[in-house]
Amino acid sequence: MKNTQGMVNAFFAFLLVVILGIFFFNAINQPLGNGLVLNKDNPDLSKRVSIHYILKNVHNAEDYLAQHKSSYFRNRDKVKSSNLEFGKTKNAESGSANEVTSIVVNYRGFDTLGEVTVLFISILGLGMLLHENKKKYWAKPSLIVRTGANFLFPFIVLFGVYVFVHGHLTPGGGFPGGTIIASAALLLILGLKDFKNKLTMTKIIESLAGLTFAGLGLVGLFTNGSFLTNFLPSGTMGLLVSSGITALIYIAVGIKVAAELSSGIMEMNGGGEE
Amino acid sequence: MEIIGIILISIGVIFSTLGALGLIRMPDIYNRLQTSTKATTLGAFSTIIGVGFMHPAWLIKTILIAFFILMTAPISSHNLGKAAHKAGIPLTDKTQIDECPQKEENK
Repeated sequence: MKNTQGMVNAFFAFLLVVILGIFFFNAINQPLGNGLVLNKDNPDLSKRVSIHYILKNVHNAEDYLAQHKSSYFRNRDKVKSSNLEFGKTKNAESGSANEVTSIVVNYRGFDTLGEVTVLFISILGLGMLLHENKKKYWAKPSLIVRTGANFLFPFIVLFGVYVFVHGHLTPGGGFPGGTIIASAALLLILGLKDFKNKLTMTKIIESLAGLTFAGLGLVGLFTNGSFLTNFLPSGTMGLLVSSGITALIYIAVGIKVAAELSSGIMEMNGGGEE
Repeated sequence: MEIIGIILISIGVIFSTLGALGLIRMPDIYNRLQTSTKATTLGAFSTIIGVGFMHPAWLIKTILIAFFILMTAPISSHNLGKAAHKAGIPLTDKTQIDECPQKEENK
């Protein structure tokens, strides 16, 4: 019985490896587009991708260009595509107003998937090490800590959700927002008398969020031909509903990081169910 | 508006400096906690509110941040002090009264 289950697991693992391998070789065999090829002898710097993202201030773009042309655009007088304006520009290449998010989630979304996987594996190792430990490291919290924890918990969760929902507009994003929510879980562990570890719940939430990330990437693969393409319209830059899948991915990353770090904290708190 | 902001920021800077001085000057962890908490609460608090007065568009956000600092910093330093006392870190010789009981029940 045990042997058959091991065989089934091995079969699924093999299938996963084959599917990933097909994707990998498919990605390698794709011809390079002519969008990112630079002519090395006579580079046309206005065709760089980053030129679209240097200028995203909320002031008038042309005044800014006229003032800073000497320092920022020394050799690039004919920059027209940089007239990006907060709240007005529509259907920019990446619609997020935060440049870091454009790079981390849009251009380098696969890299972010890898980072999330690294975090997942480290939390998995932590759980394997600490899962046998049933001892609860808990001391009685004083009245001040209890009251503070009860009062602050919803605010901290709200702030974390704000940070990752606004990840494509303001500094922050999935990783800091998830960490803030995990700190709220730590506060609950410190402050509540009868806190019970809910490891199953965190694992389910975490898996669903990770699946959402990978699923969005696969939808991009099947509709537009490459993994994690922004297949939704990018909308008006600077609004809450904009920038296509960037916002959705950051929400998924935030939920995943929050669940992962919370489960890590819970395992350190006492390990095991109940 | 700006003058109020500058005054508040000056108060914050003075308190932060005094807090840093106290970290060096004070003899044991409890006194140091006391000074550093003053630096974080009043120093950071009035600096942030001062920035809010200098840029009135940010005032609501700065008030929120200051509220968070005001809520969290005293709780954390209280808990640190309690943990230090529980771990048995000695007081200075000059301390006259120690009202915190040495051993608390763990339940």
